[in-house]
Amino acid sequence: MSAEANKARDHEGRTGIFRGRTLSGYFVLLLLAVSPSAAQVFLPDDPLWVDPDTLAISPPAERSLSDTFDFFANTFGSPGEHEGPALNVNTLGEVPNSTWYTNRHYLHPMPLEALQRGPDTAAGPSEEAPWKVVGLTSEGKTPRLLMVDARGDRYLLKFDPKAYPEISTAAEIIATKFFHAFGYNVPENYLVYFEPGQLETAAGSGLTPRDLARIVHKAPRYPDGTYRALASRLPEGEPLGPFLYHGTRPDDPNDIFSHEARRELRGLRVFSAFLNRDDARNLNSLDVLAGTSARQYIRHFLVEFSATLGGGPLGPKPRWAGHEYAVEAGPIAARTLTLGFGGPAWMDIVYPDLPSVGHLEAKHFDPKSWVPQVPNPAFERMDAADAFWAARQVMNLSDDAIRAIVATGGYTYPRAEAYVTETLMQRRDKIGRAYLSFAGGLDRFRVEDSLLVFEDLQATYGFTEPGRLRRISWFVFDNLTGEGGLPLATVTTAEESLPLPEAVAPFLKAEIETPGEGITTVYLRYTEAGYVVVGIERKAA
Amino acid sequence: MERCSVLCLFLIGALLAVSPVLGQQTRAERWREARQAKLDQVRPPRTSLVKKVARFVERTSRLVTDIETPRPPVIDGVQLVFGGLRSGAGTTAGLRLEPLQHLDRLHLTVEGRASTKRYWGAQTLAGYDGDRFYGYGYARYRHLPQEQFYGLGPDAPRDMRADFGLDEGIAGGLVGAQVNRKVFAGGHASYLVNRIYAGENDALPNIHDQFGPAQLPGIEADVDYLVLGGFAEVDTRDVERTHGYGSRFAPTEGHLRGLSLSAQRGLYLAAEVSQFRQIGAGHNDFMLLELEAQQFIPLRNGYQVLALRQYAALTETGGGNTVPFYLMPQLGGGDTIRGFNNGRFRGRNATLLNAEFRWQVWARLDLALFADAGHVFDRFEAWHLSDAEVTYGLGFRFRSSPQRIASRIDLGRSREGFVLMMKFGSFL
Repeated sequence: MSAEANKARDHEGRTGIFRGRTLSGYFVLLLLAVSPSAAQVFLPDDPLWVDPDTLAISPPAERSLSDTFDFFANTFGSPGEHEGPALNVNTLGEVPNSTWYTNRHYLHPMPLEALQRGPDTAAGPSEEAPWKVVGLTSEGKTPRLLMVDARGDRYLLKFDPKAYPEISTAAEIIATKFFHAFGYNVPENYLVYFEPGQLETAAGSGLTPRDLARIVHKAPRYPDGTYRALASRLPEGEPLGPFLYHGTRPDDPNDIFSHEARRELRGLRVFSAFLNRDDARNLNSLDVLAGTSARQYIRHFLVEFSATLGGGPLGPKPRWAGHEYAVEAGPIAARTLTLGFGGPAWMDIVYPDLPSVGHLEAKHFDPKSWVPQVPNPAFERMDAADAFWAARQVMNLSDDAIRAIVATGGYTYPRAEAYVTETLMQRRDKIGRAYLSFAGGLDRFRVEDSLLVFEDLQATYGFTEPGRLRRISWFVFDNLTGEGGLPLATVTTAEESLPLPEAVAPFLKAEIETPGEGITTVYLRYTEAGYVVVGIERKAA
Repeated sequence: MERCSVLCLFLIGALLAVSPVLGQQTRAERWREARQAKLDQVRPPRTSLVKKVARFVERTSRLVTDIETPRPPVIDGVQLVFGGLRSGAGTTAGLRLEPLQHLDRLHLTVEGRASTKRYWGAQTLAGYDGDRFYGYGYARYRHLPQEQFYGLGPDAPRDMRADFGLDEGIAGGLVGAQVNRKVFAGGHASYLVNRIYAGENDALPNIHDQFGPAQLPGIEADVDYLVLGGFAEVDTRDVERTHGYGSRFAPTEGHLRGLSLSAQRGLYLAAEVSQFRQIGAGHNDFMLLELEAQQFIPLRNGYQVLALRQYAALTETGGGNTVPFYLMPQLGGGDTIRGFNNGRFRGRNATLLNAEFRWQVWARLDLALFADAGHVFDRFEAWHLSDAEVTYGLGFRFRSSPQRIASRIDLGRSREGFVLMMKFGSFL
């Protein structure tokens, strides 16, 4: 603690009636603590870390969406009813594990090998026998082959455009690993290299070898005669169609939080900006009927990452990507009337001549103004708390972690891999600078040896000088009324380890004010093991 | 005091332990209750009629417009195809059969098409698509009953419009080699049969009534040809080449195409010489030389493009030979001078200049301002810049993807008024 901070603390001193503890005071608190009330803030199992959303359901029917309808509905309308903060969070502001989301790298650091492995459970499709192509899909604008390997596993084969080798397959592999680390359900995606003879048409597929040849020949061929594809293993379970980014599924009783009120979907905007996934729309999601026959429930996946980073299945992304929605009347009118001379500055961005990378850069990247192709109801409702939740996860990716994940993209040219790595590091830092100042940027609260310990994320990542002064006010917290209750002490300190008040109460509250940035309020519950952090609230200045 | 604290802590623990008994609910229970409540109200998602219609349109339109994807067969091995018969033929559709689907590089197509203006045609194409070498054999028959004709030369008046019928048969082969990544060269040989007859458009006078043999070489007799040709092209444009690209030079293809709409930068140079040697009696031998240069200059990283094209089609005859009027170069229409109708001008020679400034205003739409100047002439001495027909106008280009223009609409203005043209498909 700095001398200045000590001086300030001594000056503030301690206040409150619990300086001298009295028996009557304890009993008052005890009675308050145990009185049943629906209004009480913290329930016995708070903070909830597992959302019990696997109630057995009757299998719903597969839902088929119209991409065109979604486009118009989201562009010219405003789907979703919930306004306000995210609802599916626990009292710490975290997203409990659920059929949507699993807390991974941020709360439980993954070794580099696990980050690189991502969701993969095998080494990819078996090459012991030719892959039987059973169908063709063009949902993603480019033809893909649905095939079955010798083990009977079903994969979707996706290819790169001929003139831009690796641009799409590398991006999808990399994005899969990142989204997995962030906590989402994603399919297992593998890079495969194969001779044309590895593909055979299955009986009854309606496809001919010519159809296969047409599709495969559109892909770049390596000097050794092989083709490269991304083999996306279809999630286990019966596919039920995409989920929506607003409302709930009426045939799924487990789906009780409006999707636009789900923090993991609102915060997905930050992750999507980081990875330039501008087609984060309904169509690129998937509900799957999971579980056993005795208990079936729906799991929710993000799918289709081929249009992340700088390109997609058709080549480099248009320069619009991330800068403008697909339809914005004002900019269109301006460009029309000025013959294109009045267009915005991003039109002049010069991208590196890397065909396998496309249009990805960090210099002009602005996380707050980044937008997907089509307005997303959950993204539209992202607030500072959602953004903070996501941004700290992005910032939690070390240089080594980013380097390790990008290496899984299988870029032939080291320059491409190095550029993507460096660019993602810079985009990560911009995200941190944009969002981490919320309420002081404090996180990782815990009680250790009678100290409330936390981390100033901005200082951790070098965005601010360490040792910033903060004003801490301690209160007894009334869990039944939710009111701050009796003040205990107020100190001003630069320390990130705060001694707990000497008073013992069922609940304590610490308001940590970072001048100019806001207040982070931490709630402690007294348990047999001592105090534990039970709640966190953040409020911007 | 310490004893007091211990007592209090004990009480806290005890009371917390019994709190469920007192009615204190857990968070998980609350959320579970909400789900149980919803379980009683479960209903299948409702799909509005608008959504159903949109979904239906998406599925069906993909069958028609997604030419990148093999289309589902109408009957086993047979596909539905649209357009592709002749500009000005009206709405056209047909069937295509590809019987050699099991072969990789070799392919065979047989197709037939017909239009609302009673045009029809049949074609078969057998070829080899290699990485470097290409070879095609082709045979085509076309019945073109309503071809329009205004007269020869730059001064052909609009009110002299007449029509004629042309049945055309051609069979031959083409071989080509990709010399390097940017240079393609090859040659072709064909047997060409033409039969002229009275047009079937009752609203127009017949060409035989409107023009006499003295005015129209080739009208008095049918002419068969042996056609031998050689070609070379240099292409540095940023548009993706596809297999079969060399068939652009086959006599079955329309050579005078429009400016590439998808290219943003690069150069395209092509030269082709074809010798038309008449089979049988007559004096209709001639040589056709076609030269083309296209240049694409990107501005603002290609969001604005200045596209320029120069084209010349020159015929040479000797010893009293003539060029049949229906084989003469022609100007007018969406690929040449856009303020005039298709085939508005014909002559033994033609030159053409196109300039187009285009800019993207939206991810799916480019706008273009264009100006065209075209001139047909009989002899080189008759070429005068001041005689060129000049048109200008506004164009709309619709993108099916960031890299690809799928269709366009051009509104051209000339001394004869406005002409609106629409085209679908890919453009080189």
